[in-house]
Amino acid sequence: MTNEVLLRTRNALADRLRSALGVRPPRWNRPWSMHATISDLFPWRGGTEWDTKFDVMNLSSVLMPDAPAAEDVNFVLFDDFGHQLREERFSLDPFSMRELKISDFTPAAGQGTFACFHALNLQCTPEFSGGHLTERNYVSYRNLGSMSLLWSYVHGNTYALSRRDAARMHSIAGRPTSEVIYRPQLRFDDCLRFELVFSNTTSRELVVRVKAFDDAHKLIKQKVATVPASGMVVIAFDNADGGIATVENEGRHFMWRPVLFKHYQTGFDVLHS
Amino acid sequence: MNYYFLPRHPVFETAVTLANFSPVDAVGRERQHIYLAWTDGTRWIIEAMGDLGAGESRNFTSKNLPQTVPADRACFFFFFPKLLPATLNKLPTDPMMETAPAWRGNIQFRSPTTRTSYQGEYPSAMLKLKKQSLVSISPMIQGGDDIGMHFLLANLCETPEQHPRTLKFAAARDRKVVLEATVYTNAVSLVDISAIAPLRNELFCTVSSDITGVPLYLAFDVGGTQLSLEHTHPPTELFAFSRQPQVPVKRMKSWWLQQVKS
Repeated sequence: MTNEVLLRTRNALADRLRSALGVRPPRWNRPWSMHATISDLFPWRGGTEWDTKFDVMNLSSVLMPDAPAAEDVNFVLFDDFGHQLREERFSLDPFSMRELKISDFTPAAGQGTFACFHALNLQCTPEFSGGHLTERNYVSYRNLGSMSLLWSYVHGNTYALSRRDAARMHSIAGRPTSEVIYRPQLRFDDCLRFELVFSNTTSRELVVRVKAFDDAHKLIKQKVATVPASGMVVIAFDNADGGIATVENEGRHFMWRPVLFKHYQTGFDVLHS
Repeated sequence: MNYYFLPRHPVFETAVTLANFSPVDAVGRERQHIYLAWTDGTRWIIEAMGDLGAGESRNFTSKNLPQTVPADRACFFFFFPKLLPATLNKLPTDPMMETAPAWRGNIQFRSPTTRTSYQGEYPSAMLKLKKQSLVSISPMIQGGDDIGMHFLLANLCETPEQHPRTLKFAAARDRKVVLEATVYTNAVSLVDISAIAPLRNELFCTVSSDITGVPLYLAFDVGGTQLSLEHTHPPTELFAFSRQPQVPVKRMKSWWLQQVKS
């Protein structure tokens, strides 16, 4: 175990040195603690227009079903400025899930991010060979203006924060040496309006620049926003004339894949890009 | 290289968007040929669907497929730089257009007034899998008087035979099978799981010991005013930085496959 601790510390230190020195910086820094678990930083939307739901699963019984155990879960809610609003701890029975509605946790208005950490130490199980449990499962949204009772699902898409028990949360996002461009591989000219939601998984404020192009790849609109650490922004484009075909975003963040909302006549689509 | 499937649905139009630009590289790709493949059970039928220049993207819909494609047949699109013959005994699996994140397409279901989609791909490495199995654990079962729920499984193999396979659906807590369905290789099989909606507050599992693929959960309300589509992660996505991620996944899948029983 001592060798494993030394190896872990060395790896975590090496990742951060590479990031700081700009020498082939990794996309993600391995957590400092062997016992840490990892969460995505999911966007939530509330207020009079939206509700957000997160279905928390007992992950240890999914991954290690032959030794099912109750699992302690730590749910942390941030506002869009990255300020922590609330923290909840609860236990989940084996093979169970719990539905968390954000409207049950927050005031009526607002938007922000959340993270969810499962207290499962994979290091106790050698077959996971240095792995950390990650929560990047399924969040769903409902537009309250719609008559539909349906929730629209999207899964998490990155590793954002690590935490060991009640200790401080750490960003594990790597730091690129320059701005990185990301291009969602889809078209936007089929919807009336669309939004790109950027969560900032790093520990510092970032600027995101979104460029919108027509079908001939001519730049027709550009928007810039500042995203606080652990916070989020929603960048919206009207597209009733179908003029915007594709978009790209640029920022000091590896693989800054926004969650996309595309709005149609009666419903919306949410997907990770 | 990746394949992009176009499901067929009895109610909703479907579409796939192909993009000839990388998600991350600044450099555009060269012009690519687009091909559509479908199986007649003994051969892959290959249709040339035109070219796509660097930086371009194009939609293909279930309503605008070549008339030669049978109405019930799933279509698999792919990019390829060379000319291909009209039939193939094996689909190509060349290493090309491999990026991180993966080179994806948009797979979409359309009602007259709304749409739902996900960014997906079928990696060609999966076409060569000899031993196939599936464990999909999902909280995404929805239900109610006006809500329908379909499960879709996209499967693609190198050779064109269509074999029947078995899927089992159960609540994770008791693992007692509540629905069993036959699906096929080289298809995007659809199973109506609306009847299991009373289990919607339960963690749910879908397993198979003889087929793999991309499991999709499609929910819709009557009239198609709102649609929802998402896939479940493969089990390796539940943990990170492991030096041998396949070792615990093999054990985990083996347990679920044995425990889900009638």
